Amino acid sequence: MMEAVTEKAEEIFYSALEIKSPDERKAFLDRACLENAVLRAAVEDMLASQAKVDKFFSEGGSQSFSISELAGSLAEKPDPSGKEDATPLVDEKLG
Amino acid sequence: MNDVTLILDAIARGESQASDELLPLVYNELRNLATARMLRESAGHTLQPTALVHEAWLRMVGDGSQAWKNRAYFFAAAAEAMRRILVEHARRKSRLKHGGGQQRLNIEEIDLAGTAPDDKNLLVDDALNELERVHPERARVVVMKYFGGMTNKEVAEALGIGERSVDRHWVCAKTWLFKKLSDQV
Repeated sequence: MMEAVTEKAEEIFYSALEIKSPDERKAFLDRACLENAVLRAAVEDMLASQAKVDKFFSEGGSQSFSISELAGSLAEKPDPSGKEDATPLVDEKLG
Repeated sequence: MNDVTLILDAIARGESQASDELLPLVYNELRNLATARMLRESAGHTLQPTALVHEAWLRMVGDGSQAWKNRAYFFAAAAEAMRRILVEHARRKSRLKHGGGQQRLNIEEIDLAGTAPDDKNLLVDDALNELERVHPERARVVVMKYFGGMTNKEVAEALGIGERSVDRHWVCAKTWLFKKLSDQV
């Protein structure tokens, strides 16, 4: 049940993002959500978080990384599994 | 034919175990490339994941002989390798910051809006593990775009889906991940 609401909410949310005018967006949400308050709240929540979401994913992160910052890590042996203390290492495994 | 070409051909024939052989090769090559770049460029320069991935492709397979589908497999593996390299780097830095212990990032100490890039990579990686369980295709899009720096067009080619689907997966996945992280804080 909850999954169906989430899926529907995402569908409405993605369409609503393309509507820039606040009035038109509100009218669209009225039509798409009808009287379903849970669905409406889920969509409104997603729309309200967009500025923060975009900021979080566009600043820093892995879009690029500083060479000097990465230097210490690359000088050491890699862990190909991404887990702590995993063996064998890539070089040894490939011989 | 080199090892990578043979592995890519095997994956294209549907030999799924060949995918496991591709990742360590690509991972190693990307690390070597990043190390070489690091030695030749001055401090303060930045590395773009996409540039590294493209260079790895050219060095490992060349630019004319491979079928498009093979290139897509390679790029998917390269994005996963970039994720591991960046997360490994962030973990090491986090350990150094906490005196060399095996300490995990404390979500309660984190202000999401002002999160440093390395902490951000660790947080995204954790939440992404959860997304992989509920929506694997969406998670693959995040790996390619966030850790691999790929464009919607490149991801669409790699996954064999439309660009609009990629965009929708990306927008919805970012929102899902952010909510997951916000709920934890």
